[in-house]
Amino acid sequence: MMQTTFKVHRFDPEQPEHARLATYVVELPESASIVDGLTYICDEQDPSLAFRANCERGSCGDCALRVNKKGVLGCTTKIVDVVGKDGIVTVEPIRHVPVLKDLVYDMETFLWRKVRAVTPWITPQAAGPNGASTVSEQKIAEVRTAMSCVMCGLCDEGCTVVAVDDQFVGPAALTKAYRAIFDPRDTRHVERLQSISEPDGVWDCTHCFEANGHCPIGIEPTDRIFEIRDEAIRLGIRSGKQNPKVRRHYDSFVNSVKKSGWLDEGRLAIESEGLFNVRGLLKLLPTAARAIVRNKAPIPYMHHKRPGAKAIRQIIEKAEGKRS
Amino acid sequence: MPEYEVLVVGGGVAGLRAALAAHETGVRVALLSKTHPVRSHDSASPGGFNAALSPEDSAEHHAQDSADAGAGLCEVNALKAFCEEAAQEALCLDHLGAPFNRTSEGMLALRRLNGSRAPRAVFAADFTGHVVLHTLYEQLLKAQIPTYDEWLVTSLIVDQGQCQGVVALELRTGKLEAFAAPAVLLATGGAGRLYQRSTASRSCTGDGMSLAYRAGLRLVDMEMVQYHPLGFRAHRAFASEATLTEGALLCDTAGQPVLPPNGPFTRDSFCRVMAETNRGQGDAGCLLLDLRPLGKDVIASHFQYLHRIARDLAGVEIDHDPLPVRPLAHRLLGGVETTLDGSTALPGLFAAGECAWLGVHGANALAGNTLITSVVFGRRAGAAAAAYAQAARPTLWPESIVKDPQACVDAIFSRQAGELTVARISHELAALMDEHVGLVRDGGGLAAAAERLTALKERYARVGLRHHGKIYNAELVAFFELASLLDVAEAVIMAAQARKESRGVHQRSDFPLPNDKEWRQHTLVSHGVNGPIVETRPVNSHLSP
Repeated sequence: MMQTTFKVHRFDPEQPEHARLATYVVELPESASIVDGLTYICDEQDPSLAFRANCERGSCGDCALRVNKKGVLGCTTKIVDVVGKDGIVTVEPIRHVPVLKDLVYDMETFLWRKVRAVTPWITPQAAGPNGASTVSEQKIAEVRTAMSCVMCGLCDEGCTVVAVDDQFVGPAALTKAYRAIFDPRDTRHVERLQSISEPDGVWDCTHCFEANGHCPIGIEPTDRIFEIRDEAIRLGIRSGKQNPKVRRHYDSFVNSVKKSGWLDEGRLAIESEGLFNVRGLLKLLPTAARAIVRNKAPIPYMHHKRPGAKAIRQIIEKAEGKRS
Repeated sequence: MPEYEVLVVGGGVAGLRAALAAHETGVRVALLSKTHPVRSHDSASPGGFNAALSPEDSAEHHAQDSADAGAGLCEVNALKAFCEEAAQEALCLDHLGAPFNRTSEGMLALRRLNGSRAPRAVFAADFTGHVVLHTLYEQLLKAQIPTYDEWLVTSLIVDQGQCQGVVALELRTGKLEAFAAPAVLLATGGAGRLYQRSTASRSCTGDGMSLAYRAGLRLVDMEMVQYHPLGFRAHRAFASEATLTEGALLCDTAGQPVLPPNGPFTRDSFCRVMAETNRGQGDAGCLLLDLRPLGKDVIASHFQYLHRIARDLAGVEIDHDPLPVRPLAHRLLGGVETTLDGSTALPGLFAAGECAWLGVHGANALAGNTLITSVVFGRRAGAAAAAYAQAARPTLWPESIVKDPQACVDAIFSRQAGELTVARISHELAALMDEHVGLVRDGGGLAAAAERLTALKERYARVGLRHHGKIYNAELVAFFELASLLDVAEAVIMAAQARKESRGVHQRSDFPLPNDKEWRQHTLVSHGVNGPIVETRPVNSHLSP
């Protein structure tokens, strides 16, 4: 048996002014998980504590929590593995989500509405099954891994875009979209890629790779996002109808590297906004001014070809040839 | 008051399949569940489900293997319907996009599970239940069926001998609401939380079985508690039995194999081996599941969930070290007596999935039969409930219908909270089930269990709540769940006392042999005015309409 101090986030919407971290001392075996600790608190000390948990084996995703400032599944995280040197375990709800009570939060706002937004069911060819479909194991294995997602939301919790923009569809829903996009039995492949390329979709990811680090299953949502983008590009879908900026950004990026072997950032900013988009260009001015003040933009602004630009161009053209 | 034609209670595989089947007929369906549907216990079902799809296999073979495992208690008609439709439902799930494993030719891969003569199990690595649950949930979203997540049904509304709806508690607000529906379908799952050492999720508290029991319906073969041989030493996780049929070894601590590789053995005989040798009992006496013979590639493609969870929970890398295992209580094979279309003896009430009994599993479920039972009979019950609802007259009752349940909740809150708590009674119940109603039972232990259960029920009648908040009051939920568990425990103990023989998963040390002459019978427990009533009925007789 071991003794641990739990500091647990308490919030009761009936008494919001009493929000606090409450301290409990728990006595549990070495094998105990965070969920075991919370259960012990409820059973033995404070039955008013609310938290979600169900399967206790990392398959249902109900107990995503923030433990010592890290998003984890409470049932597969052992106390001994996370307890600080001070013997304290701090348990809070995951971030960026409305809290309903203590450690219970609103998954509808946080995740489910986004999952629905990606139309996550496949549309097969026929109305009913006509024997078993023939599907390559290699293709379906990736879909299967994506579908091992337990919808805990920890990738969204760690996402740097969700943190500042709750309209971003987020890595969890994009992983669900991946499952439908790459299912060989689906007939809406192109439509899906088009709709996921709209604003708040797949192009809003800033590829910071946090989702990969936060996924407790090892699904690597960031890589799934890249694969969706690659597939869209392969089919010539470089943006949604509502956000031509993505397409301009993409084209400017590729043209710049093709031409000079590296990225012309000044040009990228201007071309992304669009040469005739006066309002967009004016918005760039403060950033440009700050860049100049901080010596981030050479004056006069010149963008030179780098050595080996020709070889780089050949590589890109080869890749483009493969794609088409 | 929300009004629907079919109200499905429970969002697991059976509930989802039922809701979809009812929806297809055009009736107004809603799904109400204690947890969000994707949190259901089915997500933990690993190794695959049986469907006679290979050319060498047939529904007859599947039925025969099931009957052999079921040790003389299977109902022939139920098995026949089940085995014929299992293959159709498997193809339907494949069609809807469940990413099952394929062969190198791209066909559905089939793996052999213990007790099956041929490779018969469709699988998705070792998280098959998870992909089936999520595939069905996608379809629920597509159908735009209204869902009430995190609502707990506290009582059935029965009027003029018919089930007319339910009263449910919304966890988020603490309010009670009546739902009107001429057809109510229980798909509330099992009651594994009767046991401390079990594979069950927290939600498996026998709610539907208890609702039906209280409504006067009979619970059948409740003594049949299936243990899973490959449970983790100190956690609720378990390894799929497919590990063994794919070449893993089960060894004692000296490294000697205890079972011939590739069986044949059924789950019950297997757990018996473990119990008889007194290994797998207690914390120290585990057997070792050695997956190293499978090789890293097979572990990665076929057992990725086990790979992860063994590392996270048990601290074992299964491609380097053997995993300590022991039997854990796994599921109840008994449940609410239903016909093949899920109807019960109470008009307007249907049941499917683990809370329902039809006689498919008999005294021991064939490995791979349980998940697909929920799919097959979920569909049948959903369709039958829809047909019933279309023929039923709309019900009209006053809003005051929730007055009684509300008074009941108010009365709970008015009790004095003392030393006695809901949590303590729940712990004592689970400990007593582990001790006396486990893998091997005897008359003395069962009598002691019955006596202690009576005492626990008396204490439950007096227990007060320490927390009176409305929002996500877990203690109030646990209070209702404990009532369900006490009901189910009563049925299990009564049935186990009645069956004076050993058969399938029901093993009695004082009656170690099966007694076919007297006991090719089902046990039926019902809730009488003066306590539980136990009856028996010969196998292969049918529920009278």
